[in-house]
Formats: sequence, C-alpha cells, structure tokens
Amino acid sequence: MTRSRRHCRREVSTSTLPASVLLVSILLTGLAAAQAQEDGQWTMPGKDYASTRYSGLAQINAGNARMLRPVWTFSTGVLAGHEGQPLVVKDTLYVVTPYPNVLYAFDLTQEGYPLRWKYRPDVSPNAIGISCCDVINRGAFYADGKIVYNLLDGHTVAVDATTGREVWKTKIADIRQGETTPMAPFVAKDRVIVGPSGGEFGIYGWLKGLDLETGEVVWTARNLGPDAEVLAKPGTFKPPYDEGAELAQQSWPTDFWKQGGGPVWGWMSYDPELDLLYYGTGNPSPYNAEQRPGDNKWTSSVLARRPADGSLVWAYQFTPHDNWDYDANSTMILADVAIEGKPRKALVTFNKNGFQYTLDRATGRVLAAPTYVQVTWAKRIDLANGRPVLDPTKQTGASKGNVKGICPSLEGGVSPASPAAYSPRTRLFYTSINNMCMDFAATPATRIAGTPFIGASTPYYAGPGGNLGGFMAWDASTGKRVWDTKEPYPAWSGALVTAGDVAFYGTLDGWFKAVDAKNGRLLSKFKVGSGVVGNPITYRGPDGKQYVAIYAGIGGDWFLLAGDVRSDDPADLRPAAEFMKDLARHTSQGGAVWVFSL
Amino acid sequence: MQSRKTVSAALAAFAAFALIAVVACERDAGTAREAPGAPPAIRYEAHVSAGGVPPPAGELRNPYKGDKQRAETGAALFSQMNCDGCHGGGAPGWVGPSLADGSWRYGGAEDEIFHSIFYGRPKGMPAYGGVVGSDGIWMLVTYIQSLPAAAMARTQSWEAVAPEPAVAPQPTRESPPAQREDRAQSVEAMLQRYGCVACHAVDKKVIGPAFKDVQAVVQRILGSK
Repeated sequence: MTRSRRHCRREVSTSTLPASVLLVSILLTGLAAAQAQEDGQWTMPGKDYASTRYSGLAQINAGNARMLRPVWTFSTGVLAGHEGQPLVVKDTLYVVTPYPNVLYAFDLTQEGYPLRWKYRPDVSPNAIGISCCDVINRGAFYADGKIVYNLLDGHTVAVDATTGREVWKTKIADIRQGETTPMAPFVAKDRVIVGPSGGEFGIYGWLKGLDLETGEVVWTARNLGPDAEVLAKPGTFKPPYDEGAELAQQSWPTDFWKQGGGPVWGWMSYDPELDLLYYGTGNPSPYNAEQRPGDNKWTSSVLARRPADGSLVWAYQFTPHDNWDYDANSTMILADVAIEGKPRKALVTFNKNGFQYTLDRATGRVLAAPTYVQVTWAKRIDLANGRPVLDPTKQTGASKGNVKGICPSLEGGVSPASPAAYSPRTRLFYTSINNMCMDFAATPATRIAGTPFIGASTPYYAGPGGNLGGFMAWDASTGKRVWDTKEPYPAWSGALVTAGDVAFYGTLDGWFKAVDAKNGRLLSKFKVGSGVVGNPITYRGPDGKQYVAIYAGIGGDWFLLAGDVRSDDPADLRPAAEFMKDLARHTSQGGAVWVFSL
Repeated sequence: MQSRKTVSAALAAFAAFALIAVVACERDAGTAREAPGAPPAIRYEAHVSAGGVPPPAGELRNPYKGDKQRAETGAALFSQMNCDGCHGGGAPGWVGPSLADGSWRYGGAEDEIFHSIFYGRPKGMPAYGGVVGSDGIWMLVTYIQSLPAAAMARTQSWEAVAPEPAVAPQPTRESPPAQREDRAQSVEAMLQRYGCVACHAVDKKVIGPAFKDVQAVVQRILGSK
C-alpha cells in the first residue's frame, strides 16, 4: 500500500519514544515497526497481521473523548446483522454489507463522503437458507490494489479498489453441502486465505489458499480427515501434545469426519518471522456428541499453517470432543506477553469455552489458561498435556438428557464474532464479554445435505450478577481482569483501542461507547439507531483529523434469539426471548455506517 | 447458534422392520399411493391476480386434513427432516420464520404450504419434494396446520396497559373433504409412527430405497434359497 509521507512525519513527531528506542523496536520485530509507523489507514479486518485492532492515532484521547460527536452516517439499505468492519485505504472508505454483499466506496476527500462507486455482485439467494445465524458478512481485506471479500453463496471476489470493477471471482464453497462464506478473507504471501461456515450443517471443514493475482485455488487443506487432505506432512507437522499419524482421522468414527464440521468463520493472524498463519476452527457436527466418539480433531482447535502451500505446522485442540458448541473461531492476537516474568512470543485468544489461552505461537504449547468468566464444564486446563480437566456432571449427549448449569453458554464467554483488541501501551487486552449459562439437551440428528445438522436444545440465562454482558480490560500476564463494565444485554461488538488510550465498543441495545483504556471510565456514548454487532475502526482523514467508524445493525445470533427486534416481515411475529425480554424496547433492525470525530 | 431440536428417530433401526413390513404394506396399499398428493402441473404463487382473475392451477387437497395421527407423524418428520433446525422446535421461528404465529409469507392454505415445502421458496427455504415425497409433505402440512396459532399480539407494549387480544389465526381456503379409500392401516400406521416414510416411499427412491425395490430384493433372496 502507498503511505503518505506527510502522515508519517506527523506521527513520528508526536511520538514520545526516543529515536534509538524506535529504531531498536523496528529492528526487533516487524509488529513493533507496524505500530510505530501509524499510517492512519485500516486495510485489513484486525488492523495488522497480529490482529491487535490497535491504532497509533492519538488525537482522540481520554481527556477529550467526551467531545466525540457523529459527523456522518449512511444507510446501507440492508436489514441484517452488520458484523465486520469498514476499511480505509488512502482516502477511500470501503463498506461491505450483509447479503446481498454490496461493496460501497466512499470518497473521504469530499463533504458528505459521496460514493466513488458501488459494486453489486451476483449472489444467490439460496444461500440465505444455508446460513445458520443470519446472513452476515465479516468484512474485506485490502491487498495489491484489490478489495477482496467473500459473497455469502460460496464465492470470493477481488474488486479493483480504484475503479470498482470485478477483477476475479472464484467459487470456493458449495451451498448444497451446507457451506456458506461470511468470513473475512486474509491475505498473506500473495495468498487469499478463505474458509466456510457450516458447523450447523455437517460440512467437511477446510481452508483454501487462492492466488491473489488470479483468484485460482492453489491449495485446499481440510481441518479434519486423512493427513493427506489435512496437509499434515511428516517432518513438517509437529503438534505440541499429540503423537502419531492420522490424528484428524483416528479421532473420529469411521468416515464421520466427512460430515464432522470444523468450519472457519472467524479471524486469522500471521507472523511474518515464523511464516505462520493462525486460525481457529468451529464446532464438530452434530451438537449431539454421542454420534461422534473421540477427540474429533481438529475441530474447536487452533491451526498454524504455511500460507504459501497450506502445510500444517502445528495444531492444538482447545476443546477435545466438544459437546457444548465451543467453536474456537475467536481472534488470535499475536503479542509479546510476560509469563512468569519472561517475555514470550505469544498467541492470545479468548475461547468461547471461558478460558483465555496464552500459547507459545512457535510451538502451540499452552503457557497459561486462566478462566475469564464463570466456567463449569471444566475445572482447569492441565498445562502438562494441554487438556481440560472435565466436570463429569456437565458432559452432554442424547443419553444424558437435559444437562443443566453449563457455563459459559454456547454464545461464548466472548463471542468469536466480537474480536478483542490489544494495546502495546497499556499491555492490556480489551474485549466484549457475555455473562450467560445454558442447559443443554442433546438429541440424535440426521444429516441431510443442505439442511441443519444440530441435535440440541440449549436455553440460556444470565450468569452471576444478572447482567448478560459487559466489556473488560484483561492482563494476560497475570490472568486477571483489570476493570470491567456491565451491560444489560450480551455484548457482541468487537473492540478498538488507540494510542490515545481510549477503547471503543458498541452494545446490543444500540449504544456506541468510548471508555478510558486505563480504568474503564465512560467517556462518551451515542445511540446509533440499531444494536451494534460490528467492530469499530479508526482512521486519519485526508483533513488530518482522527475519525472513528462503526456499523449499526443488530443481527447474527441476536436476530434469531431476539426475533421480536424484527420489523420487516409482517408474517413473522415472535415472542421476546425469555432471558432478555425488553431488548426490542431499545432497538430494531437497521443497517448504517456511523463516523465520529471531535 | 442455539436451536430447539427435538427427537430424531433412529431410522436405521427400523430398516429391518421395513423390510418385513413392506410386503404387507404393498399388499394393502395397492399402487395408487402417491396419487392423492401428486404436485400440480402449475405452481400456484400469485396472491394478487391481475384483473381479479386467478390463473388456472392444478388442485391440491390434503388427503390427511385434520388427521391427528398424520399430524403426529408430521411432527416427527419436522424434526427428522431438520425443519426445526431453521424454524425451531414447535416452529416458533429461528433463522426461518415462525410457522406458529398464524401469519404466512407465502400463504397458509394447505396447497400453499405444500408448495413452500415441495418446491422451496426464494428466501432460503430448501425444496424438500425430492427427499420427503408428497405423502410425507402432506403429513408435514397436517402437522403445521395442527399447531395452535400462538398468542402473538400485533402490538408489543412495554407500558403498563392491558395486552391486546391475541391475533386470530388467518382463515385458510377451505378444501372439499378429500376422498380416500379406506384400507387396512396397521402396517402403514407403523411406518408413519416410526418415521420410515422420512426416508422411504413405496415406489420410488428417496433417501432410502423404495419399498418395492426392497421387496424385490427380499423376494429374490428368499427365492434363491
């Protein structure tokens, strides 16, 4: 990408770091270099390869954030969960909508941000019925002059960032087999990395590497099944705890892995020094675990691959034989974390299962795994073998009837849909949290291709304290919350933190909030018209000012769970969800982009 | 994602059952089993007719209208065919719309519901005609029409006032009573009760082989001994 010289100079001049320290940090790690040279753009979902969602912009700070006000808004014309985040490349703001996946390009140099162009792809409505949880999209990735994103119906497109013309379009997934593609692609080493949703449809989960130039599929790696398809090659693949071959086949009943799930609907990170791409996999199918005895590798796991050829380097399973739908698709933040006083090259993730894992990102070994919300399904993670020490009374399955009091709920202590952020200044992680538990009644399920393959009834209720959600700052080196805020509803927005020491998040009842990154004090809030399930970003406009952008548009699981927020279909009337009866009093469906500044 | 999945029967366990039952079933049922539920040649989807003149359409009648046993089988199918994965157990709505609120996107008359299931609908409803067969779809229709329309008021208030009376179920077009031959029901009822028809039909392959084909195999095996 092109970087404005003017912007670089300005950022360096505001830096408080001595030049020698800056130089050392640049030499030490590429990550630090990226942070030191804040270019004011937001070109990929997680801001940088390390997925920190941290911006070096500091005009908006804890002292002046109370002055934040909306300066621009735009209706996307779509009513569905507006997950994901906009991109800002040079002086253009890019927005991808939920199905039908319109791509808008706004000119930031002109008053009112008029459109440069919009791209309306050909996308099949049949994908609507193959989406487990609303027709969301998690955003685009900018690389090599192209905006690359996925259409819901199993296609990846690359659109010329300047002209809006389609450069290539590749079919990557088969909706007839239950695969849809709402995730945001990731680009590393000229590979566009993509994967499917469909853990609720019995897919045979995979990851693909496409050629950035042509869109051609260069490699396909399964997340489960035979080594040859998983791309687990002898000599290259070294899992931290497991030994032997065919792990991802032997840990399943015969051939069951062909419908065993393991979707890829979350976020990815890349460490250029180790040349490792990290991503999490979702739940095994079906939810009724008694149909699939075994660990079910590599579902509910994190995998590290070489982006060039897809070969698997290591894999670690957070939740073996997952019987609670604890997908591991949460963002994997790459950061240097002090563990027992020693700085480690770590991968930090807030798993749905309630444990915050700090892994050695070179090997996959668990360095620490404290709980970050109430956890009842397991007592702790055994660091010697990486496995959870289970509570036998919280294991589910069709023969076990209705198992009560499982925490967290399957929405996750942190939802993978709401990626966390990390500030190298405070050395804290910031994330939305859910405070919910569930009962889990599994039942036998039959797979019929293209229809749901689930087999469980799982009502939710509030955890300790009664509030359903919140937002917290977390110290991974101590495994403790530094501060938290309470929200009446589950919290489903991503986090943003800046060099101004301000953290941003949105709420399900439609507030967009700025809080002090050091203590959680509320600095500013604004009602954006519909519940927030998207992820805030910040950028420097062509006028040199810092802006913050967020989507409004309730959806994803919350559209399903709170069917009474629906207003667009007179033939679909639903009662309020038992555990959050008045959400519809505060929000309804919507679809808008908001921009704030001082 | 949360779902409200209800029990899905272990179909395989009944395959052997069906092998034995099919002979009796065939003898009793004759050959016209699919006829009452065969889909029409013309799809009925126009709800506002230009000039007030409805287009000509084949007539569809639910042969099982009001049949409680068929409704029960339909309820089992609703789970076995994963309908509840999208509409929720009891069909209160999930990623797909509520089927229990008394209002309908594509019409709530029996032929309209039949169409929605058999051919699918453009906002995501898969076409189930190929996998369930018309007989099974009529049982689903019978089940769906047996659902009590939920007490869903069209006004949702958070103020302290008396709630609006629940919406009355929309009237559905009346169909003349279906004419069906009365025949021995024991085996057929068993096939329905255990959900065999979820995967098998008499004379064509659905998920599992046609009962006729199974019968032929059985007879060949028995004959070769």
